[in-house]
Formats: sequence, structure tokens, C-alpha cells
Amino acid sequence: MKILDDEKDLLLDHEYDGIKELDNHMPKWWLWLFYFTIAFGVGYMGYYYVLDGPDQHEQYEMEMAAAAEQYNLNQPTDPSEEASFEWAYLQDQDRIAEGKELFMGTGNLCFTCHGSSGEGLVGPNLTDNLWIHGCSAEEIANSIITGYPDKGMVAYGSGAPISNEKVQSLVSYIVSIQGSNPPNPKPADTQRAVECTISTE
Amino acid sequence: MSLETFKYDNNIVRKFGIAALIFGVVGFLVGLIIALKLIFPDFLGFIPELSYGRLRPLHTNAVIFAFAGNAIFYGVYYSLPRLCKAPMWSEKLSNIHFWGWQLIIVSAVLTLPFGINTSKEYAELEWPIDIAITLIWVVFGINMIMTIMKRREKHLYVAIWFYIATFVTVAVLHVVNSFEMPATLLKSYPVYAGVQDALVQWWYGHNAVAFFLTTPFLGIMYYFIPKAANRPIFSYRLSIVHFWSLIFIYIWAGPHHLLYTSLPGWAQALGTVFSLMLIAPSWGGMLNGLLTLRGAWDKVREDPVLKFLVVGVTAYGMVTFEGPMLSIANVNAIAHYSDYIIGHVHNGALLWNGGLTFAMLYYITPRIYKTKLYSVKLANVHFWFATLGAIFYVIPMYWGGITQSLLWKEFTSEGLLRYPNFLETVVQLIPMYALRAIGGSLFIVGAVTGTYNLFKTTRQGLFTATEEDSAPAVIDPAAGHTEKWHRRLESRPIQFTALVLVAILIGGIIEYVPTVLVDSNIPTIASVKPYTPLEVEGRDIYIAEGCNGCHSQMIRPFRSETERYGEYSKAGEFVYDHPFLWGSKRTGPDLHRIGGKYPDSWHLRHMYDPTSTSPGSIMPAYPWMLEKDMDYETIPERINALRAVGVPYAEGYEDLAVRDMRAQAEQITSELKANGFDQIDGIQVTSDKQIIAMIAYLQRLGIDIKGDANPWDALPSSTRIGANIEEE
Repeated sequence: MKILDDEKDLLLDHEYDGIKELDNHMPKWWLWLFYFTIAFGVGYMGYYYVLDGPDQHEQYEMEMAAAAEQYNLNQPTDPSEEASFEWAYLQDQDRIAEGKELFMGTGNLCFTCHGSSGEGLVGPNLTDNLWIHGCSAEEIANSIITGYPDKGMVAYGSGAPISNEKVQSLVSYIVSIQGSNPPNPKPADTQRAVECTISTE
Repeated sequence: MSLETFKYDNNIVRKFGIAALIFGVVGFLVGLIIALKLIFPDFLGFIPELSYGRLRPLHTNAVIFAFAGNAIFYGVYYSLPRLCKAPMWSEKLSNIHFWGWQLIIVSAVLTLPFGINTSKEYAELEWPIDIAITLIWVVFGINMIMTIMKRREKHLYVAIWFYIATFVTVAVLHVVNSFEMPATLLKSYPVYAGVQDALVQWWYGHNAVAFFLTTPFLGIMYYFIPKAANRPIFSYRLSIVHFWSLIFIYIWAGPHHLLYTSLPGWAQALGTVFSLMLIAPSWGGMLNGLLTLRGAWDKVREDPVLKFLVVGVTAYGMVTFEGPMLSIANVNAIAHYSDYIIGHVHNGALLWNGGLTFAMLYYITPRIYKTKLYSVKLANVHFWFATLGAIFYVIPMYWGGITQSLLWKEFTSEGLLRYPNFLETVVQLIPMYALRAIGGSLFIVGAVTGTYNLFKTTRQGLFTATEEDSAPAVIDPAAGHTEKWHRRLESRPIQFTALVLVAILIGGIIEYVPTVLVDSNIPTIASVKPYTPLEVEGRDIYIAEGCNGCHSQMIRPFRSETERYGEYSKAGEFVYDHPFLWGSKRTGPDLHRIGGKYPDSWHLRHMYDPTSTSPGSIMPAYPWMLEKDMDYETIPERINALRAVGVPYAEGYEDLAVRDMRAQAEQITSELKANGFDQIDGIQVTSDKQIIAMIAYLQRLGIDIKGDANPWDALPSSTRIGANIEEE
């Protein structure tokens, strides 16, 4: 083994298969690092289990409270504002196109259950005149906004809320495909669906 | 003093080397296949045996136990006899060890792709193989300890300390984590449930990293660095301090895999602080390795062996800094479940374990073939491919992991999730997955180059099956009362081993025993009931397909998670989960509250073709679930086994289980039919197929605490089971 001049005094008197060992001191910074992490560990356990720092569930409550404050989630929504939104079927082609984009988008995923042409797959056919939850603009909008969780429709299709204006466009698109007779329509659930006529006049 | 002559067995060394190399390349290639499947989900088609969930455990087992495992034995069988100045105690045991280990690897290849899998990470092999592993490990241990007993060197060198710690701890970990109740020849359920199972599993899982991928390789480092550099070890006392502190502290760190889960907070906190305390002991090893190179750095520029050693030890230093950082709760909150962890482990696996293994191969091969390395230039090419490959692997994973985690947590100005559809966050990662596959490919090109180089080296040399050496016998190894205490201990292998055992038992016992004995750690929830037989079947399919490789079932108490998935997971919800299925990675969304979120027909279509309900999904399709029959026959055995581990099915229920199973399956199938789903693509949906059990299981997940109607209520045996469960 190659031994440097300044190491001669540090060399230990044993060797294993030719391997020798020096008896250098442990690096000071390394020892301090070790002591620091031990002290930190003691402090950490002390803070949470002696001084009773917040556990993960208390931290969660704090996070929820902070969010409620930040986003005004605790404020009761102004009923006059809610009621003041005028739900309507719009004829505006731009709004219908926007609605189609939402319907086919990966945000709300309407098409994965109702079919790309609204013909119905997991969810009901949206192009026939049979409706389970009503067909007025307001009823369709409410169906979208609240969903039917026990039937498998999450609010807003996938739980991704959108503005009322966008729901309006979506409702308008859905209404625009009424009677379009797409291929492979899903048969209506006659137990629940009833005839409902949309009047766009 | 008279010299005794003896012979080292190079045959066994060569065998382990070849096995490490072959299984290494195979394991890397399986890794590349699954990496490609994340970019192109239909790569290799949808063949059950080649699906992502089944190949992932094959990849991890291959690289850990076949590649690194054989590499460990390669290093030990070469260095231990030379450090003891004694041949391995029994050539017969050496060979039983070698062939037994390879048979275990073959049995993994013959079970994991066929869905025979316990779901517990790095312990996926089923119970008969677990027994075989135990036996072979004991063979290795006896051979090693007896070689040490017969040594002609009075003291044990530091490398041997690490080998002893490896043997002892892996034995304890493997045996304790494998307590399972066999239901059939190839199916078992762990005796632990839920929180306890998770704690035991990650005590095992983390310490598999510690005592299978770290301590044996530190031992290897302590032999090969001074040999290759021709330099004395930097500090003997650093060896002592870092060895004992490392093995004592490591064993506590497991719960850092379970931060913010339903594991009791105090156990999580112990995981965090002991992980932080590990930095110095780990770095002690790195420092002792790198500082040994003082005055030899000119050789590092020339010698591929030293290059691989230096990069390996440096990567070890990085990974062992990163690990403690990831154990800090709020760092973990970002990195956990993401690809960051995949990057972290590959940094260690590719460069530390891979680097040291290739260093050994380049060191030993020319020596046992009495020749020079065929081409230093090619070895350098290998070195650069390995290093750059690892960097190209690791950086995209870090980048992608942090990106995805931030997307999960991003809220709009109205306080809504910005990316409520999980898939939107997955699509962002695909370019990173592509870069990772390139990095992995580079690493494999390097490994193949290395294999060629080593093969040519063996061709130009002449293998020496035995190597003669001589040393004086040690008259009384235990003598020497003037020595300092540790020096004395080094000449007493039995005491040394016993002390190691004590050091590694303390942490595990302190964390585990109260979790089981103190009731307040797992508050029970009255509405939580066992799985129905059909759900048990569905759960077993979920396990067989390796769904837990990509989906967690553990919603952490963060607003970003409860908004996305629902109420956070409670410890009491998992009391009948044998095994726990919390998962460790979210390539797909969490599933703990998936029950009732979508209609059955959604799951049917989604399992048949995930892109039909989730466009752009990279989840594999499971068309075979519509065609394969579920397993009615072994349900009574499985119910019995689950009862034996503590699930309160009434006595005799096993005889009614099949009836309940059929009734529930019939119910689901007829509802699907009523909704117009009697077939998909011409495949009839019938009540005896796996998909029905799968749907039943998924629809049960996370619903018990909501107090909704429980599937038990509709089953023929419901009253009897319900009453019995209440009584128990």
C-alpha cells in the first residue's frame, strides 16, 4: 500500500489481505452534522409530543379553515345573485360551439359517458325527447351543476366546476343536438324517463 | 511461525458474477419495457403476462434480488475468504446457495407474470418461495459464519462487519414480513392487516434498501476501494462509529414511507427524525471511501474500476442526503406518490449498486482469468454510457415528479382544483417518460458493452479455478486483553453478531409493538365490515394484476386530496385489509373512495378500454377480465385463511360463500344488462367473469364510513353474517 509521509504515525499495525487502515480523526464538520441531526430529532419529537404541536389532522383543519377564509367559502352564496342568473337555451353559434368544446373536453368529460354525439353510453341519450330530470334550461343546468352522484354522474361531469356562463353554453349545445338521431342510440330507461319537449322559441 | 496453505474457490465467484451480469441485463430490459409501456400503453399489446402491473414487480425483483443479490454474493465470496485467509467453509453449501438462489429467481419469473404476487413491494413472491428464500439465506449465513470461525486472521475487517449485519438483518426482515396464512398452494394472506401490515411492510421495504442494497455494498466498497487504489482506509474509528450508528438508526426509518397516512403520528415522527439522523452515518461511509483515495486521484483518471467506484460512492452520498430530505414531512408531501421517488431510487440503483457491481466485475474478472482487461477504452465507453444514462434517467423523473405534484395541488383563484381531472396531470409527464426511456436505454447499451468487454477478457485469459494462498494459523483468536473494547469485539464474531442483532431489533420493536397493542392507535369504526366473497375475489385480482403499482388507496389529509378524492383515509377503515393496498406511487389516481363514484358500466368500459372513458389514459387495457372466469373454487379456502388471520367471517361461512358470491355477481350483471351493457364489442358480459368481481371490489372501496347501503345487506346470507360479525 502506498502510504504518504504525513500518514506514517496514523497507520494501524494490522492488515487484511494487504489492506491497511489509518487512524484519522473523524472530520469535525461530520461530527457536528451528526450532533445537529440528533438534537434536531430530539427537538422535533419534543415539539410535537411534549409541547403538543399540531398533528396531521389538526394541520388539515387549519388548512381547510385558511382556505375557507381565503376563498370566502364560508360566505353563504348570495341567493339573489343565484336566482338572478337567467338560464336559457341560446341560439348563438359561438356559444353552441363553446358548449360543444366543453362537452368534448377532457376537463368535464361529458362525452365519455353520454357519447361523442350525445347518443348515450354509460349515461343516458341526450338527443331524444325523453328526459329523466327535466328539459328546461334551468333543469338541465342544475343537472350539470349538481350531478347525480349516486347514479355515477359527478357534479359538472367530472367534479371540475365551470362558470354559469359556460354551463349556459353547454346547455345550449345539448339542446342543439336534440333530434339529431346519432347512430347507436342508447335505449331510454322507460322507468324513469318521460317525454319532455324543448321549445327553443 | 509455520504457514498453512489453502485454496480459494474462484469457481463460485465466477458463477455469481455471470449470474449477476445476465440477470442484470434482463432486469434492465424488463425495466425498459415497462418504461415504454408508460409512453405507448399498447406496446406489446394487451397480453396479461406482459402487462405493466405484472412486469413491474418482475423488474424490481430482478434488479434487486437477481442483479444486486448475485452481485453481493459475488463480492462476498471473493472478498470474505481473502479477508479471513480461509477458503469458504463448505464448497457444497456455496453451490447449494448459488443454485438455490438462481432457482428462486426462476420461480419469480414463473410466478410474477402469471399474477402470483402478494402485492407487498420487494416481497411479492408467494409463501412457498418465501420459505425457499429463508432456507437459502440460512445456507449463505452458515457458510459465511463458519468461514469467519475458521479464519486465520485474528480480527474481522470492517467489510465483514457489514456482511454480518446484512445476513442478520435480512433474515429478521424477511421472516417477520413473510408471516402469512396460506389459502392455497400459491395464495396467502399476511397475518397483519391495514396499518400494522403497512408498518411491517415498510419496515421491511426500507430496510431491504438498507441491508440489501446498502450494507453489503458498503462492505464491498471497504474491500475494493483500498485494493484498487492501493491506499489504506482513511479512518478506522470513522468505520466503527458509522457502522454502528448506521445499522442502529436505519431500522427506525421505515415509517418515512408512510408520512401523512393513517399510521399513528408518533410512529411517522420517529420515521422522520431517524431518517434525518441517518445523514451522518451514511456520509461516514462515503467519506471513508472517498478520503481513502487521497493521493490516488491520478489513478481514478486511468482505472475504470476506480471510476465506477468513485461515481458509485458519490451517488450513494447524493441518495443518502436526498433520502433524509424526502423524510421531512412537508418535503415528503410534495415528492411522495410522484415520479421523484422513482428518480431517487434509480440514482441509487443505477450508480451505487450498478457502479459498484461493474467495478467488481472489472476488478475480479482479469484477476481470476490471469489476464488484463480486454479493453480499457471500451470500459470507459461503458462508464460514460452508465453515468450519462443515469443522469438522463434521473433528471426527467425529478422534473416530472415535482411538476405533477404541483399540478395536483394547484387551485384556481376561486379555490377550486385547477386540474380536477387527474389525467390532465399525467399527460404532462409523457415527454419526461420518453426522456427517461432514453436514459435507461443508454444505461443498457453501456451494460451490454461491459458484458462484451468482460466476455472478451475471459476469452483471452485462462481461468484459474483455485487460487493458492498461505497464512499462519491464529492460535487463540480471542486472546489480547490489552486491546481496546472494539478491537476485542472484532475477534469475537459470535458476540459481534449478537450485538448487531440487538442493535437492529430495538427500533423495529419500539415502533411495532405499541401500534399493535395500544388500541387508540387504530380507532375502530363500527360501520366498517369485511369484504364479501365476490369482493375478496376482486381484491385478489387487483393484487394479481399489480394495480397497487400505479394506484394508491390512501387519501392524505390535505385539502388538495380531499377536494379531489373525498374524505381522507382513516386507520379504522383498513382493519380487514390483508394485505394493505395503500400503494406507494400514483401513476393513476387514488382509488380509496372510488366506490360509488361511477356506475358499474363505467368501470366495465374503463377496464375493457381505459381510453374509452378517459381519453389519453396510459392505463393498460384489461380485455381478458371479460373473458377469464373468476375463481369460485378456492373461495372457501380463502375465506378460511382470512378468518384465520382475524377477519370475522362466521364459522361455517365458507360453505355459504360461493352462494353469496354468485348472488352478488348475478345482481351486478343483471343491472349492467338493464342498462344496456350485455356485451362489449361482441363479448358477452356474464356473471362468472373476473370483471364482475373487479367491479364489485372497486365499488366497495371507501364506502363503509359513508353509512350507505352495504353490499352485505343484499346477499342471501346477510343476516347470519351480520349477526355473527356483531357478536365477534
